[in-house]
Amino acid sequence: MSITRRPAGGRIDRARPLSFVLEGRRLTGYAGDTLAAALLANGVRVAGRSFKYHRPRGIVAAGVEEPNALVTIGVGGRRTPNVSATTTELYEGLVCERQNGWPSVDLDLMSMTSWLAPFVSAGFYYKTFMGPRRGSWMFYERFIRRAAGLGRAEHRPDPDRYDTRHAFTDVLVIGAGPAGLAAALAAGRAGARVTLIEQDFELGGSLLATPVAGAEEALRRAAIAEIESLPRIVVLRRTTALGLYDGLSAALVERHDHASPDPARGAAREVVVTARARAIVHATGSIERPLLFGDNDRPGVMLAGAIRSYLHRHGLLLGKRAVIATNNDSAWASAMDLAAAGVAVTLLDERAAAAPGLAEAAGRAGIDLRSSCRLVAADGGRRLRAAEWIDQLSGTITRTRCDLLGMSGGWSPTLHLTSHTGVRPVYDARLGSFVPGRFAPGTYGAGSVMGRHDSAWADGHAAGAAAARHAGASGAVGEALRPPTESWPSGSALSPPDRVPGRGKTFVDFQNDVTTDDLALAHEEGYESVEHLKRFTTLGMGTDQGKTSNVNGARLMASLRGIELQASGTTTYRPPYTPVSIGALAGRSVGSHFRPVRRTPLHDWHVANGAVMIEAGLWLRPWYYRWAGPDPASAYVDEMKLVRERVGISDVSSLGKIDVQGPDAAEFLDRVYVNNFAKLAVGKARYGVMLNDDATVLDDGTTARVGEQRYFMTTTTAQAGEVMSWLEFLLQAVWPELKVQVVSVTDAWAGMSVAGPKAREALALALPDVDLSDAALPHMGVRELDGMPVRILRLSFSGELAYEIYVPADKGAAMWTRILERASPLGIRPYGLEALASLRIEKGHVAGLELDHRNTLDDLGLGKMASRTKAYIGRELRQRADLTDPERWSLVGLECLEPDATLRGGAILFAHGEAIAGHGRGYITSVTWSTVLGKLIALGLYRGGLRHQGEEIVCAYPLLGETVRARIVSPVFVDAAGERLHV
Amino acid sequence: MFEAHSALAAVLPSSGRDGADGRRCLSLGEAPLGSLLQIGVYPGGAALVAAAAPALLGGALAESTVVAGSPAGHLTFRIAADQYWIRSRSVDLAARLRAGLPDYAASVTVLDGARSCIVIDGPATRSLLGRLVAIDVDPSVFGVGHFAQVPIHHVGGLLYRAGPQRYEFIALRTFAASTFEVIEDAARFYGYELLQEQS
Repeated sequence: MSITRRPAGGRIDRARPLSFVLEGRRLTGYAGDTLAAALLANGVRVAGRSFKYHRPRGIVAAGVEEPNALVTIGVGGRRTPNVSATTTELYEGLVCERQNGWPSVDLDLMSMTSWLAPFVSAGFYYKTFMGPRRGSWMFYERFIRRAAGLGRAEHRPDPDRYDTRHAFTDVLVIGAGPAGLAAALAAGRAGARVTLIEQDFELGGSLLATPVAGAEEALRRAAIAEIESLPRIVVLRRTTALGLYDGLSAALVERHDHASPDPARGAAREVVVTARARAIVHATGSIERPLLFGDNDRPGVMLAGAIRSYLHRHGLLLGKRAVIATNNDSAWASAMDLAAAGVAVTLLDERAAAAPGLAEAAGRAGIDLRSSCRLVAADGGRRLRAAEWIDQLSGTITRTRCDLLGMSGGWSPTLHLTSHTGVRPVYDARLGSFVPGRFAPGTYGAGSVMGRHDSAWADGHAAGAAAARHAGASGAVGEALRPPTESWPSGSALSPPDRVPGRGKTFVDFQNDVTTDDLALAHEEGYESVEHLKRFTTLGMGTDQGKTSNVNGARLMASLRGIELQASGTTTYRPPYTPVSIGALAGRSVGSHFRPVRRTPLHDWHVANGAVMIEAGLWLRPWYYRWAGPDPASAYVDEMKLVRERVGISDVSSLGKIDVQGPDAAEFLDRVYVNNFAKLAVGKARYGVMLNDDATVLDDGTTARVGEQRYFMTTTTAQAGEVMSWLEFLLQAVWPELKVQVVSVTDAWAGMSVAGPKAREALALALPDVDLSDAALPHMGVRELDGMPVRILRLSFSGELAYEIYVPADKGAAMWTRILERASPLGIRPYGLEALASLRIEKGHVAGLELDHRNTLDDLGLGKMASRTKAYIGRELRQRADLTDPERWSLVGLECLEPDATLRGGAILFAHGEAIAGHGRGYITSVTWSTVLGKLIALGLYRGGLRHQGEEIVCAYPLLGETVRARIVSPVFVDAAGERLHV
Repeated sequence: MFEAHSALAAVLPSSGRDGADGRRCLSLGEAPLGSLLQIGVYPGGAALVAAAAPALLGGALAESTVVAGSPAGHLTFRIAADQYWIRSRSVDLAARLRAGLPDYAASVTVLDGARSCIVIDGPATRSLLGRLVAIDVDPSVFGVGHFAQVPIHHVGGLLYRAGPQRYEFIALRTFAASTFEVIEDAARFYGYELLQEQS
């Protein structure tokens, strides 16, 4: 393979040289080069080592189908493995390395594995490394993965930025070859909003492989000029359609590597686009198939179309003496153009005759034409030396010295994307290829992807016009652009599946080192269907997903089975069409943007005043305050003492709050809650529990009646959304006749709890004009202040005298600071979530950890709340035998009996003396240090519940091998009589 | 009376920043929301509400669920078949509505502090919105006055096109800071000026 860059010609910009680095060597290419072209121009013939046998591999293709030339791009956290050199646009400073060679790709000692090839056929791993014991694979795997495989993933953080966006269009045209250009033009002329996407950095597709001075190039330029003049056409270069989905939507990825995007300025390296269209035109073209012959993977063996592409696009002559082998007419163009460029060409055509006139033209070009001849083998190591071929009529085998071997086994329509939406490929025997089946309305195909290789312009024009009409654009589409001749005659014949016996391996799938022998073995062992074949041999896996191998593999297997290719079918093509980085899929949803966070109206105050915040669901809440200690373990105890002994204030804004209004509001709440709310007086609040329709507890909370037909419902923080959805569902679907409206006002009100023996005094200092006496505002009383949107509920979560004060959210910080400032003589301080939760454990209040949708009212000791006289959701199902079983796990309190031991949430509970095994008799839900009792206490669920009160049990934590003794007690640890609430 | 505190106070940047190409193609900030009320119509109450609305609002409530109404300087959004938002500068509108609408026909809920209004303005607004919302904001589809209830970064809100290049996203107050941070992050590519609007 003697490679030279021609002094002129090609589509590169010779005025813009670009330097890049390959494995420490600084090399040069030009703007307009792909990395593959630049590597070839610098004489790099071995693009990498093969997956399994570490055979030297060269560049085979010029596009997305490339199986061999996978490189690692970038340095540090930006290293990206397995990037196809043929689709990577060269840019200044690009750093790359070839893959899978040790110590280097040029001198790869791992290539010794090739000697073991007879022993490592398909399925070898599965058969060999499963024993001798279960789990042995885990031992072998690390060694196998070190020896085989492609690039290595980078573990350092990626400093680049990725993004996602949405796009909407009337007509989405996928592919900007002649069919795509024509389709976009027609749809754009009709007045449709058109998005034309092209994975390459230049528009033109197969036209880019034609001579720059040719008629096809003139047509390409004319089409692009008109497209760019139409204001409603958006052209996205460097953009690949990864997948197609229902509703005419597509996932695209835009690549911006070429622009060296600066993440500090918000520029993304890749952007995943969710595109929604009214119509889609597939113009994805087709992919040339390799031929099957011995050692067909030698560097210097390439697809014939790729050779032509490198010649006309990049000005590269890839050899001086070329053999072109084909079974169809398209490769003749490559032979002719090489000959015109001064290359000595031997053209082998498997057929007896080509299209009329071609043989004469080849003769005039000085091509050594050999009809009815097939390749037998390539000869070479890291570079090609010769081709051996057979005259099928005489049986004579000839060896021809060459440094470039072009092959064309026909063309396979690129129907991956069409298959994503469930359109099964169908085999067209006339074309010798699969084509898309019947499209759904709004989807069209044009040109080569439909097997119509020779009429792309006209076909694209018709598809674009039809798509525009479907999308509702009715303007005139004008005449189709017509080339002088519709490109080269191409045909897409399949070669006979039988391989001419010869030396060397015949590769069907270059990327996965799958040979014809592997396929024969798969057939022998019964892995006959294309899906089984794929799994057994890995044919069609990897980053190229078998773009050059699938049809040849299916064809061979069909032949081995003695069936038609149509009956064999293809594997199921799934997204993504080409590899996409995980970063692009994540977009900006990383780091602090991984998920949304919710901040209470008092958040800024907390952060500014020493709160240590913690995520609680989506909320950010004050965990503890530094005034009480440097860490939560010490701080929450002091915060608890503050509330038990003096007064504290805590942010309860995260509680769910629902405005329930309407003439039927009381009736509605009566149906929702197990206890009665219809008779609740205005100005009073009541603790309520609501059940799921299966009679497990949904949520609890306090609801206040603030008007004759208006209630202010509070829910737990965790269940706020669920309760709101539940209420809306009931009103919309179950009782639509009820005159009730519910509105979430969680965001409308800031809430704060002032709790402790001095709570009344504290609030009186903050609101001196408000009568807070027990008579004016008794326990479970509600006050709304005159002239000020302030709502005060006297209720307690901690068991102490407490008030919840609600003010409009934007006024919350002002009220909070007023209370803190004016009540400071009483020593009031804020307390956080840890203390809040611990206080409620001492009081025996259930919360989210106990309300887990598995427990009944009775399990939680709340059964007596349920009304016996009214209907409510869950009433009937409460009576099921399973739910009334006295042995159900029920709420208990636990006191730790070992002073130096620790109780842990989630610990499994066992009876004293019982074996520590299995699921036990229950588990601990919540644990805290009790400042009142001076010991660790817990709430838990235990089989039989308080019938076992007083018994000693064992709390086991198998993960740490711990067992701790505890005693079952009442879950109410402080003030069981409730005296502190009624002062 | 208590001083109001913006949910965005801590996350609004102190100055703008240049985009990837050195320009500033956006304006970002918070606008005063004014008074925000929700009217909920009970079954059978629609005709009564419709009859009362002109006297109370100076015009009819919007029938469309995609185009806002603007009677007498108020903005009305039909956010569900039986629910409306009214955004207004009038401080006593809630009281007037409660007095004027039969209490067996509709409810009135004050949501004044429950939402924050994030403003995006400038030539790159639609491109920015493409990175934030899954709706088509092409002018041919989403005209001035149009609105849609859409999530930004998983959290629902109401997007309103207030002008040729000006869009307002009415976000849940407790998510507003997080929402703004996501918008600001997406806006870095385009560059932005800080928008400061007083009530």
